[in-house]
Amino acid sequence: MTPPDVNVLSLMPVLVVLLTAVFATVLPFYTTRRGIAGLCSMGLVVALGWTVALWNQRLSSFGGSYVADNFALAFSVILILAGIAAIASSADGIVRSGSFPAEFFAVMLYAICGTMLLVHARDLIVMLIGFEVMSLGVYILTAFQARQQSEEAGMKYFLLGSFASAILIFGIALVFGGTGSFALEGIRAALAVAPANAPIVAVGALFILIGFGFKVAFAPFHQWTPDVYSGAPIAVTQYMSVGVKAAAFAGMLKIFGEALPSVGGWQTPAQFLIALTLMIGNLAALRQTNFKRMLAYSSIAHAGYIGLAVLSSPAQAYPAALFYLAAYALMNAGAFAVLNSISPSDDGIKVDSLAGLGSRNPFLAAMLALFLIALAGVPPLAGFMGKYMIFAGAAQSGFYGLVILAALTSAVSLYYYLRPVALMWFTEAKGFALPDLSSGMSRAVMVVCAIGVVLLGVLPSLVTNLVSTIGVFASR
Amino acid sequence: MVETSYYIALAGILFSIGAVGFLMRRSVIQMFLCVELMLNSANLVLVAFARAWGNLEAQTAVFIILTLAAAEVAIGLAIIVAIFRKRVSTNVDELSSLKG
Repeated sequence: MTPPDVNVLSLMPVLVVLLTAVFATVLPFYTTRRGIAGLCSMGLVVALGWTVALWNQRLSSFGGSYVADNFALAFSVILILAGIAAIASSADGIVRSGSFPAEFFAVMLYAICGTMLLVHARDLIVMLIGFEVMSLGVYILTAFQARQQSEEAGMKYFLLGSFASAILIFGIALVFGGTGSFALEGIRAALAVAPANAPIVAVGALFILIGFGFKVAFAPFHQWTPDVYSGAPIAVTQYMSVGVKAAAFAGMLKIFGEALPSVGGWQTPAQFLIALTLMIGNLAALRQTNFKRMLAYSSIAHAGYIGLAVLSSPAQAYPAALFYLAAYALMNAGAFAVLNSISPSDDGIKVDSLAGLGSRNPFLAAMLALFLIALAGVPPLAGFMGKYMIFAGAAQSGFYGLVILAALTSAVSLYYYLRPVALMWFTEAKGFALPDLSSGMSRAVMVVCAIGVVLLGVLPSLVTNLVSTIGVFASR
Repeated sequence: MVETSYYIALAGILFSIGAVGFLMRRSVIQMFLCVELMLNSANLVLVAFARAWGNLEAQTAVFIILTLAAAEVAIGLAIIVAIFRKRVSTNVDELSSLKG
C-alpha cells in the first residue's frame, strides 16, 4: 500500500490561513477584537510569505488534485492582499457602526481559505469544496450585521448562491458522466480521445458556466449583485468584489481553458452572456444615485471585461486575466476603502454628496479620484494596461465584435466614473459634510493600492514578466 | 440491470422540478428544499455514472456533496431564523427593501 501523496510544503499557504482561522475562532474568549484582527493580519502575511517562497517550484499534492503552480500562487497573492485590505477596512466600520463579534475575522479567514483552495485545485471536486467554503463564508459575512439590509442581502445571496451551487454540482456530475474523470487533465485526455457522450459534456459545461456565472455576476445572473453589494457591510463588499470574483474567475479559467476547450456548446452562450454583461453593467451604472450601488454595477461591467479572457486561449488569457485581476483588485479595494471611510452608514452615500470633498478632505478625495480614473481605464494607470491586454488577447482569438462592444461600453463608463471626480474637485460643498473615519491602517492600504495602481500602469512589465509563462503549463 | 440512461432521465426530471420549484415558490423554506432536491439529483447522476464507469471516485464525491449540503443547511437556516425574528415571515416577496 502506498502512502498518501501529501506534500505539506505545497499546502503551507492554505494551511497557515486555516490554522489562523481556527485560532481566531477560539481566541475571542481570551483576547480583544483588536488582538484578533492583528493575529489574522499576521497569519495572512505569513501565508503571503509562504506563497512567495513556493514560487516556481510547482509542488503538488493528492495525486495532482492540488498543485501550487505559479498560476495558483499569483492568484493567492491577490486573494491574500484583498483579505488584508478588507481586515484593515473593517476597523473603520467599527468606528461607524459600533463593535461586532470578533468571529467576523475568523469567518473572513475561512472564506479566504476557500478562495485559495479554489485557485490551487486541479480537480473538480476539490474545486467544488473550495468554491463552497468560500461561498458559505461570504454568506455569513454578508448577513453579519443585525441591520435589516444586511440580513436581507445575506438571505438573497444565500438563496441564489445555493441555487447556483446546485446547478454547478449538476454540471460537474454531467461532465464526470461524459468523461469518467474529475481531474482537469483526465477530462482533457478523455475528450481528446473519443468524446463518447459529447452532448452530456456540452450540457455539463453549460451548467458549470451558469454556476460560475452567478458567482462572478454575469448578466442575466447578476440580479443579486447590486442588492447584496449594497446591503452587506462595506468591508465585506470590498472582499466580495475583489477576492470572490478573482477566485471564481481563476476556477473558470482553469475549467474552460484547460479541461473543456474542445467541447462545443459553451462558447456561444458565453459570448452572449459577456455581451449582455458589458451592456447591462455599464448602462445600469449610469443611472445609479447611490455610490455603493454604482460600484456594484461597475464590478458587473468589469466581470464582462475579464470574461473575455475566459474565451481566449490560455497562453495569452492567463497572463492577461491575472494582470487585469491584480489591477482590478488594487483599484476596487482602494475605492471601497475610501468609500468605507467616508460613509456615515453601511448603506453607502449618494453620489451627489461627494460634492466639494476635494476641498474638505484632499487626501481621501485624491485617492478616490485616482481609483475611479484607474477603474475607468484612463492611461497611464493600471486599468488601461489591463484592458489593453485583455482586448488584445480576445482580438487574437478572433472575437472582434465583443472587443468592439467592450471598447464602446468602456467609453460609456467614463461618464459614471468621472462624474464623481468632477463633483469632488470642481463643485462647492452643499449641505452636510461626510465624516472621515479613516484609521492609519486603512490610509496605509489606500496608499499601497494607489502606488500599485500607478506602478502597474507605468511599468506593467514588473508583473507581466513574472506571469508571462503561467499559461504555458496549461496549454501543454 | 437498469440502463444508466433511465437514472439520468430521472435525475433530469428531479433537477427540473427543483429548479422550477425554486423559481415559482415564494416561501424561503420551500425554495431551500427545492435546492436540496437539485443537489440530490446531482448525487443520483454521480452514483449512476460511478456504476457505469466502474469508478468509485464519484461515489465518494456524493459523500462530499452531502456534507456540503449539510453545511449549507446550517448557514441557511441560521439566516432564515435571524430574519424571521424581526419580520415573522419567510416570504421572499417581503424582502424588498434593497432595490434599484
